[in-house]
Amino acid sequence: MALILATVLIDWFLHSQGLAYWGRWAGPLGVLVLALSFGYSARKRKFLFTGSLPGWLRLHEYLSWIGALLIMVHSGIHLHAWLPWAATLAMLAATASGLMGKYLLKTARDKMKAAKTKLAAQGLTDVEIENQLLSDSLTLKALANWRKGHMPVTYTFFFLALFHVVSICFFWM
Amino acid sequence: MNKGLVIALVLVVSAALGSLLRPHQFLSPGPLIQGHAKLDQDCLACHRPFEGPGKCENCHKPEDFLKKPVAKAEFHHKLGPKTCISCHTDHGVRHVSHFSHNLLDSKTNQDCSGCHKAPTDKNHIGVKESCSACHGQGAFKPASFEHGKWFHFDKNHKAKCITCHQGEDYTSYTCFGCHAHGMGEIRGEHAEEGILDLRDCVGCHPSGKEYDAKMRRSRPVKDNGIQGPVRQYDRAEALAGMSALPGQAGTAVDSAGGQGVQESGGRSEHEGKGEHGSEHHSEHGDDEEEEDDD
Repeated sequence: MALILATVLIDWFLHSQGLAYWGRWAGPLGVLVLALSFGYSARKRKFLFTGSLPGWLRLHEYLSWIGALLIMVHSGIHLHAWLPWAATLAMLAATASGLMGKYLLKTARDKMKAAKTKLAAQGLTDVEIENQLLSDSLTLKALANWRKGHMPVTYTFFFLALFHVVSICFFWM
Repeated sequence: MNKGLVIALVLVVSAALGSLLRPHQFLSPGPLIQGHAKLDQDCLACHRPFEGPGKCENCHKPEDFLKKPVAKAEFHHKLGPKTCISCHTDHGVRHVSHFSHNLLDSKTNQDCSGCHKAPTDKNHIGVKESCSACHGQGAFKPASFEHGKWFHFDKNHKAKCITCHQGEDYTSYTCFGCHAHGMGEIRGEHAEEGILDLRDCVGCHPSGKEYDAKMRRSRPVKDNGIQGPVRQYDRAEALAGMSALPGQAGTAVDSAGGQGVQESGGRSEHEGKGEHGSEHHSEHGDDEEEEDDD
């Protein structure tokens, strides 16, 4: 909701100031920001070695939201070509999926923290607690299932956006 | 294989095929103009791959422009080496969407009436200033006009144009269109000072304040850089001028006009223009000039 509200506000501001054409350039900028957000995936798959994984994850969350906002401003309300709209819908689905993943991760962390405190109170050692928590398959399964949905949606967005960019270059540049 | 990946693959392949087979639906940013409607499904009729649209001359021969009206042909000729799509777009509602006056050479750019029909309404008759004094190049309206050069608005004078400029004539004004200024009251008050000509209030009250005149009388003041003595009224002449109706009082220059424009009231153009009030001022031309030089 915040994303849509922010889009409407920015779009309104640009139109009121006669700067609607800035929206065109919000597209490439949004793509750049989204590309940067995939630094997290690169770090996770060990293509990058700098920075902590949680740090990259937070950056991924922020940059994805900002990139999605820029793309939404770029899209505006121009309902004609199907491809860019399919790409926009895929991006919204990926953003929604990402937010759901964030929620699942937060829930898992809270659950883990509570379990750790409980096990420590029972007098278990740190190693025993770690072993115990690793077997918490329910949480891990939920996150794994989520990834099964998040990744295809992200791939769909990536390829549709790629087609859109290529078509723009083909016909316009 | 992951179900999600299969769905993603189907979507992506569908989009790719759709873009290849029905580009006007999948890729086109908007319908073509009526004249080009038959090319709707043939993108490459106008677009060169990775170069953009640029095949206009395949159909629109440059020599065809000579058949156009002279003004239109000349206008396009002066645009120089710009491409058609610098101004014209086919996709979308508006045909001409990218025109900018910056595309014109400076001489053409300053010759507004070369392309635009000069306005002939009362607001613009006799205006000698360039159009750009009031109008921007983005749109004719709104125009800006420095009304304060002739009359300063203050909190008591937030009046509608018609209150002072009656009959849509911005070349004259009256201060008696407002209930705050009663003719009888004004006449009595000014008669005490020997002022019987009540036609050009702004001459002595440039911001509509009572004390404008007193301040001017007591000492030469700087008023927006204008300095000088107060106009001296000739009683006999003023009496002769009393026959004029208040509504036909002062005349003024207006160089703006139209909706959203702050019209003028003022003094500068009414010298020697033949109206009753003008004759009066022309006889006092020296005084007035002195006052303007104030």
